[in-house]
Amino acid sequence: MAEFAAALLVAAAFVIGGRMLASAASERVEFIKEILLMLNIFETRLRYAGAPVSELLHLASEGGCSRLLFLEKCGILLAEGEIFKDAWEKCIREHTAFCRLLPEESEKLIGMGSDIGRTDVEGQLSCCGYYKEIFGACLLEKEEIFRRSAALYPKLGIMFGVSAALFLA
Amino acid sequence: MNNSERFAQAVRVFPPALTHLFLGLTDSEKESVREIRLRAEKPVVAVTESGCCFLHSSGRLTQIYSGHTVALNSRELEEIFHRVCSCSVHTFKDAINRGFVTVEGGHRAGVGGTAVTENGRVVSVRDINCINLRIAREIRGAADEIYSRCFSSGVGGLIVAGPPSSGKTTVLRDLARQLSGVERGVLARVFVCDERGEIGAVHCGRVQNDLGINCDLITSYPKSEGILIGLRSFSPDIIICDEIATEEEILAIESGLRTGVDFALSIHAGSETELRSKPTVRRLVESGCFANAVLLSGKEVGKVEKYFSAGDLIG
Repeated sequence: MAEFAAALLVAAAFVIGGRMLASAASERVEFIKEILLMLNIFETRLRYAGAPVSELLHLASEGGCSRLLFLEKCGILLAEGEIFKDAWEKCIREHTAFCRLLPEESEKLIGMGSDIGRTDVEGQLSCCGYYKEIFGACLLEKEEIFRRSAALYPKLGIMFGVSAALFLA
Repeated sequence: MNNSERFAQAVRVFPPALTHLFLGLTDSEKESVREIRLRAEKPVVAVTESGCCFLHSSGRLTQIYSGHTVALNSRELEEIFHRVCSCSVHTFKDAINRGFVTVEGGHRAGVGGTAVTENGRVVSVRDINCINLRIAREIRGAADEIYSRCFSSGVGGLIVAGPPSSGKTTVLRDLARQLSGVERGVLARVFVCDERGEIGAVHCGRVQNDLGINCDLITSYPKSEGILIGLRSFSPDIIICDEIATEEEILAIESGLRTGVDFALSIHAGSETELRSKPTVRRLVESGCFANAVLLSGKEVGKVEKYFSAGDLIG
């Protein structure tokens, strides 16, 4: 009986592990979707009103980018007199969940801090367009990974779990 | 907010180390500083009532230039430029091209560099090498005397003339506040067309100066267009605008006068002779809608040298 329970526990652990991997892949996709949403909000407000960076950050954080916690923090630092580029980098690096899940993408996003607010509206729109292309390609890639992992990881988890249980039994 | 507090607010636009040095000045030093001039690879200069001073690295003002005076390099100046623009060059592009940016508190930062032109028009400015921060000092009551003389019996047309730095804008700003405030019990519908952003000092959508509670303000519109917007959409009792000079502006004012709206406006004139000889003044006074004109002395902000009635000016 004890052996059977142990085997069940091992099987469950593998299944949970599989699900967690799938969930991380899903979270990556959601993060990138929000980055693209942020860039869309930036573009719209820049084109319509030439809005200052502080307003762009506020609108994006209020406008559906709830996962991008660094937006609000960056707005606060900006209001306290910190230079945007430094505040942006600092806040992204402090958002550990984001950096852990998307290390390469977070570096690319940090790079965007050197461009935002430094040119005229046309320049800003080009910058947003450039980063939309980069993150658009990222999204396709991560969605593909997610599609595969959503099905694969839980199944692998079940398979390894059952194998381990049988082995133990 | 007193002048010392306004100074403290203005210097917050600098990097923390420089801000700290300026905040360490005595209250009397803070109150006496009118402008802070920053140039790449040159010492920081504070223009005070008693002349130009350098900022010593120990945090005091001195008239002696030495190796201990604080200087800025190009990178630091560029950082200050971005701070002045709230890290949003795109938002302030037109203002930068015109040569100044209004920062929080209504302080004006003059910005100089190399102009990038297109068909003879400045389209952007690169290599910023000098910034002049003018500490704004809102003088409540600057228009008290003028108000008592010209508006005691109700709203009417007024021309405010004077040389540069005589306080024309300060007077117009205080007039807007008094005409549209509860203080005098008038509560007129005031419309301010602030082409250069000096009357209201709007920064990121917030009006920095007190223009009263019943005042509508538009900023950066060319005056000729702004006046027509005021007439069409805001049905004001009085329209206030600064530095009238062009034919288009006069035409817009004349169309306003025909609808019965009054105007309080400023005109550059260094002396009574210059005021009398200006065709624009004659044309406005001949419309019969400007009962009064004042010439500011230039010796003290808002100090009136002479009052004129319409008849005096064209007689």
